[in-house]
Order: sequence, then C-alpha cells, then structure tokens
Amino acid sequence: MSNPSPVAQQQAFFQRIAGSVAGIAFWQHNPVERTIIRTKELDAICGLPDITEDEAAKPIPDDFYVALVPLEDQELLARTGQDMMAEGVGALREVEHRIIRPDGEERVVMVREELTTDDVGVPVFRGSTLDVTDIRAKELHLDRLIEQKNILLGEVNHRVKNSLQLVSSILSLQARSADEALKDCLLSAAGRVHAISAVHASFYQGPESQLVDISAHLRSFCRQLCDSFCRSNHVVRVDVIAEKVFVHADVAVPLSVIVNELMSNAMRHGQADNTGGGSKIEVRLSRSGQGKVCLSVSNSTHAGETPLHATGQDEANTLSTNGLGLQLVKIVAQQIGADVDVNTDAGWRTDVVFDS
Amino acid sequence: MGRALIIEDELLIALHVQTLLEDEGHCVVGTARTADDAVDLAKAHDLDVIIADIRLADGSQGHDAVARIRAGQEVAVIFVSGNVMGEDDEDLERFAPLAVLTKPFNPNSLIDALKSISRG
Repeated sequence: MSNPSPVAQQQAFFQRIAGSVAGIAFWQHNPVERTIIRTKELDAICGLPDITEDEAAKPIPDDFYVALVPLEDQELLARTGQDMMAEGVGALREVEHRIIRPDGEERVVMVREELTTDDVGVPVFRGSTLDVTDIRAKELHLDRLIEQKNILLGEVNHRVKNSLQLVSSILSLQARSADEALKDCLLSAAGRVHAISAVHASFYQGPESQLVDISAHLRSFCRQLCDSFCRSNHVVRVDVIAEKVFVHADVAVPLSVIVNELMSNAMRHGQADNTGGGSKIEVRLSRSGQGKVCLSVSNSTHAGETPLHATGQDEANTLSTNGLGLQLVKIVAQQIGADVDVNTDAGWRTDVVFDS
Repeated sequence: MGRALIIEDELLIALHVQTLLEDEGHCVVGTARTADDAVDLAKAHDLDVIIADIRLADGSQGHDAVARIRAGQEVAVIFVSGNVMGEDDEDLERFAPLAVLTKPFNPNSLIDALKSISRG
C-alpha cells in the first residue's frame, strides 16, 4: 500500500482539525446500499458513545442516524436527496434539521452535502454536519432582544410626544389668561415648542429609525406655520422646494427651530406684493455639493427692516422676539456646525449650510 | 353647536382640547380617562363628536371605546394618536374618522376637522 501523497496527508490533517477543534463531522452516504461512513464527530454530535476513527471508517447501515431524525425532518431529508439525484452529480445543498439524541435532547444540525461518485462510479452523498443548536438559540435570543428594544423605543418616543404635547398645551392655556403683551410671548414660546414637537412626528417614518426625511417635514411644518399666520394676519404664500434629504434626528430638531424662526420673521416682516396678492416666502432645501446641504428661506417682499440684522437695541433686549430669534438661529446653527448667511441684496434671504 | 366627548388620560391636554372645542362653539359633556368611563359618559348624552386619544390610562384603547359607543349611537370621531410607526392607521381608518391627528398636534388641524361638524 503506497503512502498517501503529501496533499492527501495535508487534507486529512485539516479534516482532523476541523473535526476536533470545530466539531465538524464528515461523512459519505450511499443511498442505494443505505450505508454510511463517517468521522467519529458525527457520533458525538448525535450523542452516541465514543468510537475510534477506525470504527467510524467502516460502512454501517444508515438506520442509526435516521432513527434519531424526527419524522417531519426525515421527509425533508428524503425530498432533498431526491432533488439532488434528479439534478445529478455536482448538486449541492445546505439543510438544517433536528435530531433527538438517545437521552431525549433535541439538537439542530446544519448539513452541507454534495452528490458525487465513489471510486467505482456509484452516486454517493458526501458532506459535513455541524451542531448549530447554540448558535440558533443565541440568534433567537438576539431577535427577541431587538424586538423588545424596538418596543421600548416606541414607548419612549410615544412618551416624549405626549410630554411635548403637554408643554404645548400648557403654554396655550396660559396664553389664554394673559394680557396681550404676555400672550404674544407665550404664543411665540408655544410656537417654538411646536417647532421641536413637529419634527418628532417624523421620527420612525424614514427607512432608518434615527433618520428624518427633513424635506417632508419642511413641507408639512411650513404649511402649518403659514396657515396659523394667515388666520389672524395678512395673506402669506409659502413655496417649499425641497430635495429629498435624510438627516439624523440630532440635526432635524435644530433645523426645525431655525425654520420656525426664519419663517416667523419672514411672515411678520413681509408685506403684500405690488399685485395685492400677499407676501411670498420661498423655502428651499437643496444639496450644494461637497456633502453640503443648503436650507434657504427668502422673502422677496419684505419690508425695509432686515429682521435678522438685529439692531443694537434688539441685541441688548434679549426678551425681544427679534433678538432672541437671532440668538436661537445662531446657537442651533453652531450646534450642527452650520454656516448662516444673510443676504439683503434683493429682498431678504437667509442661507443655512450644513453637512448632509 | 355640537356635543363633544373627550377621551384622553392626560387631563391638561384634555383641558386644552376642551378650550379649542368651546372656542368653536361646541359643548363638552365630559372627559374620560379610560374606555369604560367613556362608554358610561356616552350613555348619558347624545353626542356629535368624540375626540379620542388612542392609548389610555388603564391600557385600554380609545378606538375600542369608540366602537362600543357607536354600538349605541352614531357619532363622528377625531383621533389623536401618538403612534410611532403608523401601526394604528389601518385600525383607525375603518372608523372613517374626520381626522387622525398625530401628537403633538397642531391646534389648527383640530379646528379644521371640527368645522365639518359645525357645517353638518
């Protein structure tokens, strides 16, 4: 008997490693004679007594294995085998099935097999078997943890929305019993809370839970602001032209605050155009290259005053709406690393450029 | 003027909703914090509209209360939902609501939805 070639020796070495270290069993199944030869790891996987490598290498009837497989899984294995035989030599399959060990313990094994031929051309199945019970149990546990996490996140978000509604309601109720000057401040505060609250409605709506479709939010929010303003003031028309941009929640909230301030100023300081059709405001969201996004609010019909170029008096008076509005825009823009540019060459326009 | 029932477990929010309803000329017959309380209140009044939160104090659901109330009388409904991923939407649409508002809601959206009651 000639010595095995170096390649065969190497393959045998790696197979022993796969078996002893990784617990992978190798086997060959003759479907006609219904016999099987295997490595001893297969018996270990099945919870059978230890055997030697020599014992494992002798072909034995495959009933010892079939007896361990539940009936429904036997049908699966039989169908798999028939499909492979129909496909012919070279057919490959991966299938998971259960086994019930002699001590009653149920395990899940993953089988990878190939239809090939033996030395005399007889079709045989050759493959490997690995016990994946613990892996599947961990996956199931992780799936349950993820589901619990999602439920918890949903509950937290629901609570936040409820709390923001409470704050908004309290401010609105307080405004009803306040004098005119204080009422304006409280309603302005309620509007700022609503700017933060409104973007929360967009959470969990995008393809990823922490990303917000800021373009959809802008359309909805600007329309709400316009509707509220027009009920008790002159007519304002708002055009929102927005590319679809997703931003992280940490950016969405500051952007909503900025839009609230810019829109509120634009509506207050706008005036009817020369056709008598009310003032016009444009809100534009567009990518400006190099990973930047530009949010622009402009009013072509604004009055002479440039609201965000606060006068010295306004800057000194931090309780004035204009002074606080400028501070809010600058602070939240700084928070998201955005640049703010005010242009008054033709009407009034504020650009806020931030990283997408 | 219509008669309205508010189903909401946060009483300050309920008070806010009540002021909005009364500003529009409606009469609020009461506020219920649970589905059972809502059903009991509804038995004593002919209602024109229900403003219903979805998740209530005792774990009951606002739309369940509406279904039970509607077994005894026809009444319009406006839902105020804090739902996160739209999972309530299909359930709510079968009630043919005047509106489904998401918390935190814009008061003007509620007022607009109520206008159809006034016109009706």
